[in-house]
Amino acid sequence: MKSILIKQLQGLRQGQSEPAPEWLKNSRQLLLTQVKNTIDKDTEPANRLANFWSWLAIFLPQGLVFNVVRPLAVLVVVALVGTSGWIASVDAAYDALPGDGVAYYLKRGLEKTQVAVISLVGDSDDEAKLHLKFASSRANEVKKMLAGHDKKKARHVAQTVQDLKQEITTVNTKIEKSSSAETIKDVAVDAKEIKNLLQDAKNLLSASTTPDLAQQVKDVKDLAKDTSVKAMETLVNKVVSGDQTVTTEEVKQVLGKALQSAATEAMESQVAAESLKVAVDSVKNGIIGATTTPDNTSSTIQEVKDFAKMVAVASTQTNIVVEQTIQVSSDVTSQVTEAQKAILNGDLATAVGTIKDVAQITKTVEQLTDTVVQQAQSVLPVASVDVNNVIVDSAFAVSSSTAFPSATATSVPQISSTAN
Amino acid sequence: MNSSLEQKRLLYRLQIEHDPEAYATLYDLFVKQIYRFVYFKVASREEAEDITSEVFLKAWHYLQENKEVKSFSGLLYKIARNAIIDLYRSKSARPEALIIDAEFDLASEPDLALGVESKIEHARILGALKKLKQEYQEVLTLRYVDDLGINEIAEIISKNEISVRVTIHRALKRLKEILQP
Repeated sequence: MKSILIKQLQGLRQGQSEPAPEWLKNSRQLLLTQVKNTIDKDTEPANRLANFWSWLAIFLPQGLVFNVVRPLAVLVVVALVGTSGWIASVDAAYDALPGDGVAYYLKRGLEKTQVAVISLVGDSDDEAKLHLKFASSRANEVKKMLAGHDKKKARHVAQTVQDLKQEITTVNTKIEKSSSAETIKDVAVDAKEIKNLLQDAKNLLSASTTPDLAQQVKDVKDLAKDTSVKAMETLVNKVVSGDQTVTTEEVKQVLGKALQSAATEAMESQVAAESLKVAVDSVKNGIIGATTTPDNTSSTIQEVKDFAKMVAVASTQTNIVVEQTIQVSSDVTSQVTEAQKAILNGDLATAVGTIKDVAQITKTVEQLTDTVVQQAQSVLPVASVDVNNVIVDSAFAVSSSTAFPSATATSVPQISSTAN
Repeated sequence: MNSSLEQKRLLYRLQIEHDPEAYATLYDLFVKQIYRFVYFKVASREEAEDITSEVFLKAWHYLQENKEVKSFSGLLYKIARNAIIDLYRSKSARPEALIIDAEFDLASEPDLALGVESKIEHARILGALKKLKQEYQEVLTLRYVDDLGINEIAEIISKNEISVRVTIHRALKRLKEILQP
């Protein structure tokens, strides 16, 4: 009976319970019109990812999709990026320079993360090494930005130099608390490398057009140099007081290289000053020829005479600096020789004392040379002078019929000095 | 019963791609079931047609709000059920009146293919069905006329599956008593 009853109920599908075809058709048409009117045609299509979640929410419970599946998917992606993807990202960011956008922010962000982690789990030695590594990175960035001649990136040089200064200052603070001679040795060596990088960067800058930046770079370079010297002094003190983490031979090597480097710097300063003298003398001789040429008008001769006075002043100052530099270089060379002997005798304290003195002397010489180069620029208007290689533009030898170009700072070409 | 996957696909076209034709297809798939479901509970064809149209329109507005839809057919039945309750409340309709209307419909039945005996049998069953209480009518219609699964019925009437099975069993028993006094 039950099955008959069910069949009777199923039979109701046919017959009078069926809707009228006419009504079906009209109702469909009316509904479709209403639906089309309410669809917002201007609605922007959602992005593919949003569509994916909406699509999934149709097939799975919405709560499950948005509260479980989606957060899990995000976690998985983060984990993947955190484990495998980050290697590629960091590799890409490693060479990024300021102005490279996201890549550089990623690089600096990773550095900050490393600092945060090491401050929690590391000691002063670890922190010093990390900040030293970042300081090297900043110094490389400064050099690359200046060498690249990219104006967009060059805008970031000053900030990067400031960041570098901050890193070196932090290194100085950390090594004061450092107990490891090994770390201090690393600081001594790496700080010297940073100083060399900044020297290259300084050579790429024009003291006349970017005096503030050039001075800023020089200051940080001196700070790196002082850090290196200070580290060497601390290293020697530690070894003398019996620290066994580095051998005496290793310390001797570090000091020996520092002395060698000081001798080279002194020699370079001397060569630079002599090259500058050659360049200024060339101008001086050219002017003498110009003033004696009968074709020149009286006004031109007056201009030449005025300019000749400036050249004479520059020449005198250059000669003074050259003499001082030669004298100092000679002193430095003899001091370095004495210090090397002290190293051979195992007198590390004397050697490091000499390194400190020489560092101060070379800084003074560099300051002198920089001043003279700046003054020489005003009298070397068309010359391209590399004080190390003694390149003097032949056009610079003033011909009797050529009027002198205006000797203003804006019209002069850039002259760089590699003097230390 | 239409495939659940097909329903999902059409919903995707509708909600994500904003394709009105998808809604037209959904209408074609479910309009007869919903009409029948309503027809068994109201007094006339006109009321059944009005409520069916209203159900599809309300379902459309519901979808426009991007609310979660587990089953489109379930949504339609729920809306239809509420619409019928609203109608009963507004008209304070009595079951007796429904039976009379059903008998009138028998005379105006357009489907001439059915024999007179079948028509009488349909009218008898329909009359007995409408004498059942609302809950019994619903479960029998959904289960045997619309051929829905127990789980779908449970969702529509907001009860668990065991309760639905028990209700169907009791409804059949009661229908049998009405048909065999």
